[in-house]
Amino acid sequence: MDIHADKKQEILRLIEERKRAEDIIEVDEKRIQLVIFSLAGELYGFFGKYVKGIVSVETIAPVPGAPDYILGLTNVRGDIEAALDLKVIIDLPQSFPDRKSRLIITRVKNVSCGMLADRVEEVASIPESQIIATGTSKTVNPLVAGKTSYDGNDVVVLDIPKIFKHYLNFPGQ
Amino acid sequence: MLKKNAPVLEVFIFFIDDYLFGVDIAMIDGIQDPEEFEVCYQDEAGNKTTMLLDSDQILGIPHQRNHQRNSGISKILLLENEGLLYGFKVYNPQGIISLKIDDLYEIPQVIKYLRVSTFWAATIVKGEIVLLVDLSTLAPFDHPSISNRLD
Repeated sequence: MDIHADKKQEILRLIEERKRAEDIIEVDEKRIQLVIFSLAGELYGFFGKYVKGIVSVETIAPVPGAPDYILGLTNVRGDIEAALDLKVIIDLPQSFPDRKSRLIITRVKNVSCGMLADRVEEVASIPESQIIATGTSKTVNPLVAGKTSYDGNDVVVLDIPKIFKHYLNFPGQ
Repeated sequence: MLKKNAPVLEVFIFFIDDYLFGVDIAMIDGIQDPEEFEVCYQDEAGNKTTMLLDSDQILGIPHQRNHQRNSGISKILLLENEGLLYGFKVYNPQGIISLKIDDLYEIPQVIKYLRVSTFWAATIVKGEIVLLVDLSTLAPFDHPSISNRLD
């Protein structure tokens, strides 16, 4: 009887241990979807929850009077979206879109906007622990949400809501 | 009540430089050739008293973009305000098209937040985006965008 009770206790202890280990694995495996793209040869990322779609770049109609970071309006599957030049926003040299360029359609609340990227590398699932928040230091670009790595290269994760707030006068934060 | 499938707007399409615009013809009081407009506003002594709105300034078109300007046909849109006729010069007229509700799109909010009350909607014609201009927002016409040039 005692032997049986001991065995039962041991089994229950092992089950509990296994459960804890599974919990730890689950925490470790929490992953974040990241749209990784390149701009002027460097890698950048957007959190997937702010990305509505990725499309080829069609003709972009300029809007007179718009600031230089607004490329204009474009036809996205029969709808009209604004297109922004991310290079102007993060102070990189501008270039013309080519066949590899993509418009990443981002959305914060009900406002959407296309962000021009030189090319989209991958939509990756990255362990949350591998995305390092950059904090609020004055030396860090306020539009950067964090950093991670992809294929051994650094990826700067950009903060879409902050881009909307700083560049689009978006009130709905 | 507007019917979804019935034409709701007749829109005059034109260019100014590389920009493609449209205006609801119900908002204007006529379309003339520049020469006709000039004759209208000559007084008895032959002095030109044109009241031409500066379309560049009104639509926010940068001045360095005027390379195509002299190559195309131009027209003057007539706008009446308090008994006076004003002219709004446009280039490369593309004709008048009928639009239904389904052909019209809101200007994306991103653009609305930045400015631009002059543009109230957009449409797509042959794959090109056309900005619809609300000329009623220009009245009263007593600001510096009025010029005396017909070039």
